[in-house]
Amino acid sequence: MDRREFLEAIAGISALGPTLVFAQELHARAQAAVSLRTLNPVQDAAVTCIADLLLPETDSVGASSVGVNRFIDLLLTESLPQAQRERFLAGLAAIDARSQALYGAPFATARRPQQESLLRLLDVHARSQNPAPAESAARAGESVSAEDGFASLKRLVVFAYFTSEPVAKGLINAPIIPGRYDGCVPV
Amino acid sequence: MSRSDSSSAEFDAIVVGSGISGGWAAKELTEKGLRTLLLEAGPPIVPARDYVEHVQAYSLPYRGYGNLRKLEAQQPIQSQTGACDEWASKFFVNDRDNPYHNDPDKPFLWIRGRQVGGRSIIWGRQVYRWSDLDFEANAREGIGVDWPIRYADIAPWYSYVEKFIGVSGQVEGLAQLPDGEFLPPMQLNCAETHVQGAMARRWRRERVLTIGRCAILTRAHQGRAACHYCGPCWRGCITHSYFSSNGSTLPAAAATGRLTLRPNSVVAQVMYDERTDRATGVRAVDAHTLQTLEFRSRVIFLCASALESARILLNSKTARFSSGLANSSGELGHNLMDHPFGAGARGTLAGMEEHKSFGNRPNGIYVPRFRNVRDRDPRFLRGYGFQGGGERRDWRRGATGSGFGAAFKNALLKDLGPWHFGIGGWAECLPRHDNYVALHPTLKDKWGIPALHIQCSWGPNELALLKDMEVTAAEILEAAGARDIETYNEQLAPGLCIHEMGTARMGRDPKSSVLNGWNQSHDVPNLFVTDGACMASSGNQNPSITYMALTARACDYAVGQLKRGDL
Repeated sequence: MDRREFLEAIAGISALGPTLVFAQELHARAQAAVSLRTLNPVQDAAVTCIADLLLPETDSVGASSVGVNRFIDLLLTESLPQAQRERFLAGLAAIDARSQALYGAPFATARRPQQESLLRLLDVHARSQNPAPAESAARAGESVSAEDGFASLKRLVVFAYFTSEPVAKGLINAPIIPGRYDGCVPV
Repeated sequence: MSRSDSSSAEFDAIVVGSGISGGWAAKELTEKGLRTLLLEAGPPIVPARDYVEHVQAYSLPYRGYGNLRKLEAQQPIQSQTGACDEWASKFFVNDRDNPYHNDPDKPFLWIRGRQVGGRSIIWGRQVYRWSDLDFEANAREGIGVDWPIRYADIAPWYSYVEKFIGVSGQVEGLAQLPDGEFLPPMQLNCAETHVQGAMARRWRRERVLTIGRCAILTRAHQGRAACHYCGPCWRGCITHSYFSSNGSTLPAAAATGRLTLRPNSVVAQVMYDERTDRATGVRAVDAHTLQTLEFRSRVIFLCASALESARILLNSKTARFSSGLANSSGELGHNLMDHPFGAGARGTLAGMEEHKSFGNRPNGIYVPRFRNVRDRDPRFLRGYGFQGGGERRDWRRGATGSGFGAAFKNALLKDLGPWHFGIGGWAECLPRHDNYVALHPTLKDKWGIPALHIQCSWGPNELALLKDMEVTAAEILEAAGARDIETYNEQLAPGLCIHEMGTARMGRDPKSSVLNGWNQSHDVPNLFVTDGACMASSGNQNPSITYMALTARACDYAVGQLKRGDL
């Protein structure tokens, strides 16, 4: 994809258009992620951004460092049946649409506090009260809700992160052959 | 093996199927001196190549998530059971090659493993003896037909097979669930010990929580190593620490020098000679060449699984047996049962967070049947046992839990999370003539053998048991002080418990049963069926150990009859 095609491709996602900095990031991502087969650069940006908000780089590796987006792309391309794949992608679009409605920018280009605010909203397990009217209005028209989209994405991100070799082997490192079973030992 | 050398060979015995029952038949018959041909429909298994229990998720293409599109295309039925995962789906049949039919409003899930070892590779390994509470139930309640045997007839054979396969368990002294020849029990974990104590305070010896009794070695036994607690037994076991035909009975049979094992041999029919009124052998299809093969023997053991053995007999029509061989009773294919399960409750237990379990125990807890043991419950006949256990869910809780960010991540990496505890019931199913299998008029499998039409649904008694399981599981969790209790009844279709049985039942009367008290056909004396087809009732216990014991007992009888010239 050349730069002009790329800008045209992403132009439709925001009435305001992406910021130049974001566009540059997206372009770099598009170049780097030529191996992605289902996620387009916009979708990849949302997946990667949310994955890193869920499981950020700390003193241990974060989601994008272990290629969570590439694994999700693999599942979407080869494993998920068409209906499930379309539902997943519709969920991503709903998250971007909600972000657009609330903040005037797709998720990956919203400001960090806005992103975190939206994630708190979408993380329905943590939400104890009904959404505000503006949030309810923003939800109208989503065929797959942003909440559903986030729940699906979160499941895959957590799965992809903890089953990746650097995390499973490097961080968790549970013995493959424990050799014994103790029912109740100190942590 | 070419047609010429196999079809001309005369064997003393033919065993059809190399799973749990067939492996036992092969071992017993060869050890008693019979030259035995063991026919298996599926391919050979090479443990070093095929067992994948130590392969880590990150080494698989989809890390255990599986290729859902491929499963949907090739194993839409098999993949509904949890063990048919990215590692072990190869141990389950291809549904396109192995079709069957059911009415859309009466789903039946037929889960099959076609390879040397059959489903003994992927079975649940739970082992529970029956008692006379089970063997007498039909007679007491006027349901189905009376079992032609009682506990005393099978008890020595339970001991015989337990000593060979190795069963770990805790002696409890309960009349409804007799103790066996146990290797040391596995430990309960902290949560399970807590619930055990709470149940003992509330229900004394009426509702007992014990560690699961399982065919997994807790110490070296019969030349096999003790379990190393890697966890996923259904992906194989390179040390043969759980019982499978491949690791136990088949090597024993091979060691006699009298076993001929022929994989890729799909048995279609039992051959029968009207003149002598005996079965003469079997007709099979080579799975690869589709060539028809015939093998002859003096005695035949069908151990192909309840539905496959019924299918073979239904497909063996003769002038005398126009509805299927050995079917003068008209009960062949009928009285199909499976255990209703998938109803129970789960919750979390506060505290004990300073403790964890170490190692992956491939076993859970068991609560032996307590309904209709001493009292008579007005709501339903029979009862159920609970299986389940406690665990800390570590990172897996993050997929559906709340939160995000550094604290979320660190908690998933470093904290194991609260103790969860859950139990679900495995209930008895009553035999009903109208739950049956028959040959489909047109549908055939890949080898040209008529496929089954399966007609099976739960009756009111099964539905009442499922309801009680859900409520009573929650009652037990409440007694243990659990929080966030959720009950569930998944309303699973019959078949999914993979305990299908009853399609050639044992009984005293040839007019109402297919087999006598020795698993011998009433009609054709040198024909035996010793898999789940023989069951006159289902009990609520996991059935494999009973098939093993009945098989060993039937082999002993058959060889005695052969030697006396009575077959």
